[in-house]
Amino acid sequence: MVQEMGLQELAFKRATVLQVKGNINSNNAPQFSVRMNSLIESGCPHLIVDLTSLSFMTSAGFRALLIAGRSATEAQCAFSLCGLNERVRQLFELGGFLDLFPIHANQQDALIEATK
Amino acid sequence: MSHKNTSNHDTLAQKLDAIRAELLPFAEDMCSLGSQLKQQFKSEQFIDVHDDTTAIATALANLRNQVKGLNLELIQGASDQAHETHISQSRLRHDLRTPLNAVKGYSEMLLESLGQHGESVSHSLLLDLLSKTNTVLETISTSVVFPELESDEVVKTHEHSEMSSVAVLGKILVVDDDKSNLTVLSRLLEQQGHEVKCANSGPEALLAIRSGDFDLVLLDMLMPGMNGYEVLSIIKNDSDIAHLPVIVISALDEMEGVINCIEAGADDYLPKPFNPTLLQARIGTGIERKRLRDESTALMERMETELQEARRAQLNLVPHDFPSVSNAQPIAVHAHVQPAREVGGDFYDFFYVGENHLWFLVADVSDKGVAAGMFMARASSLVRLIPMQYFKQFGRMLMPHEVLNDINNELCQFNPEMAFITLLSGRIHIQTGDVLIANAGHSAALEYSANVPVHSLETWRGHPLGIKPDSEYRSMQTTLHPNHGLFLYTDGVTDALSNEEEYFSDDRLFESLQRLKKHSPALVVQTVKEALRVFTRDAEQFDDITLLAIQRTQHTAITVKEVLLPNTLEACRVARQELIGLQAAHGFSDTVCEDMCLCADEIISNNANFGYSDQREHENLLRLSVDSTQVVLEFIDDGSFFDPQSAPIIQPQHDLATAKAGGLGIKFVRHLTDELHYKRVDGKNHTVLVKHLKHEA
Repeated sequence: MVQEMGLQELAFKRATVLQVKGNINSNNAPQFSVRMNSLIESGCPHLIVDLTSLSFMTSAGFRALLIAGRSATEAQCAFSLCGLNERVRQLFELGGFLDLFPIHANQQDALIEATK
Repeated sequence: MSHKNTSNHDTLAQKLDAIRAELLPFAEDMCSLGSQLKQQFKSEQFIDVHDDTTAIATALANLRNQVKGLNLELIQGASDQAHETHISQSRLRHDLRTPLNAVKGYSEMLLESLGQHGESVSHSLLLDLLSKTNTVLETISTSVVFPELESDEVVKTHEHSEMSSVAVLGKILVVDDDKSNLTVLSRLLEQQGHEVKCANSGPEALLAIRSGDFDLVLLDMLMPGMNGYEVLSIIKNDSDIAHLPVIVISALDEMEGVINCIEAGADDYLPKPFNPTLLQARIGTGIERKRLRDESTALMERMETELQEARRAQLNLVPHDFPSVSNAQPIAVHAHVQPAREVGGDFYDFFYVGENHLWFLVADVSDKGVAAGMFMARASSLVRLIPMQYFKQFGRMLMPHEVLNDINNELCQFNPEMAFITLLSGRIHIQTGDVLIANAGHSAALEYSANVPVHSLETWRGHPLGIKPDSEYRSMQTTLHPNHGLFLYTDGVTDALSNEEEYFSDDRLFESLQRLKKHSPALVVQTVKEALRVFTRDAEQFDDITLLAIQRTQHTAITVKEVLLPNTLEACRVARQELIGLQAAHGFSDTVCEDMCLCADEIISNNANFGYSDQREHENLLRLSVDSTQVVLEFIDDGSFFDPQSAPIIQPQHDLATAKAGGLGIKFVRHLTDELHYKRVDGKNHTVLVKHLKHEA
């Protein structure tokens, strides 16, 4: 069953995790983009986007990630991704995105990295 | 050698004594004539002939020494075998004649040079010498007993017939181990205007031939080491130089050797001593022959190249891309044409007119070759253009016989050669399977399937095209059921001959179609082609061969749904909901559904974001269909031209925020679909995405 997008924030001391569910497409990508940018602008030192429950993401979603990554650099906010499942990793690989972001296996690894 | 026969030995010794006795007075006399001659022209006034008089004196001294020294040592090779005796005798005659031929050659040249010094100069010494030289040459021919191989008559006839030859100039290689022969010959040839190179031996000659572009070779037969026959054999067995004409030089009594050489590929022979007129004539003929041979080779090569180009151009006139089957186009086609010569008169064609009608045809132009190919080119564009233009201009789908009427009237014009075409043409409605076929003097189409025996679809048969204006044609109607196929062919198939002169015939064609278990057109064409190949094996193909097969594929529980979409991103949401609904009804996997959702989103968002420069609302169509084998999504939009198969890929390193149509999403689409089709029809993009359903065993 194709699920609609769901976004949930988890706030930690040194980082904020944005958990993504369902799929990101042309219609909901702007919403995904706005949410990431507001977190970056709110001054969080580290934004981790957790893609563990993402079923698929269209090029609109990738565009949102690229824009967020650029805003984060400008705002001196560390930006990383984690939890790429097999299908999502395939899309990252196809698009040549694997080396554009720090990518961690799971949320825990990403948090450990953030507290260093 | 120990086995030498003593009596034979003695006979030879006696013969040599006799020859010496007969020739020595002449040799002595001529030798003194040579010295006198040198004396006569020793003054500065005659400096231009000093070389010649010296050469004559030297040659005469050689002659005297040779005659004096005549003994058995000279003919070591002599044995009791007749053949070898013959060779040593002819060697002896050759050795004796060599200085005489030189004397003769130099004397003739000397006469010519002296002519330029005016009439006051006395020629008596020289003429005396020449006449004695001729006498001795004759003596050699009569004194040494030889079986006569050829009469002088033959040579004389040659001389007369070739007297009138016009001088043809070229580059000539003279091969002789004797230096004076070389000098005489090359001077004679140079005087006649040829360019001359000399070689002293067989190996040297071969080296020169391989590195230079000669027009002709003059080859002496008797040479130490590699003799003339061996050199000739090497030349004629090397394809790089075998075309070079070779004229063999020999004394008349070496005729047996001459014949061997002619058999081995020599073009002609020249007897020694050389007659300038004969020399010029024979050489002229040889060079002329080579020129003609070179010209015809170049001409053949040029024609071959042009024919190959024509063949390529002609094969490009018919389609070679066979569209894959989809629910949108549930018809498969395959075809093959194989001209008997470089250029042929057969052709096939298939093409869509509008969305639902596939036209197909097979045709055979009378005769074969280039003329037929040109007539074919004329007909093949008409047969395509007429139904397409009618549909485009007037929105009317012609009947096949109407197309035949038009082509026939057109081809009847400007056709004085009365070339004609037999043609079978039809159209099929790809969704309903309704077929119309019209026939202009061609073999009927065959229908084949797994359930029914192969049978021909009899049609009303009109005249071949191009013969009679306003000839009548009729269209025959039938229905092609799912999984049934049509097979069209030219008579090159049934008339193909085996090595045993048997025809392939209708029976064998029916049989090879009947035996098929699977019926995809590609397989049908392949099978008949293979049956023909096995039947004809290495027999020559006499006629062009053309095959075309069409099959309607089976529809299994197709669900087709069409939805109208706005040209905004809202369309992506609608497409996603439709796919989710389809999945709920048909139960295909999440992966298939997600991949299709992703691909639909990319194609549709591309249209919404980049497809329009106006601000108006547009309505596009999405057609979804599913059967047991595949999910097909067809998107028809009136946005700007966009072919996902050829759109450029944009790397994420570029700024995606400002990216244009194409880009990243298209890479996903190409990767995640099993088939991707595109065509632009009437200003609309038709994009078809296919995902195959893989069933678990």
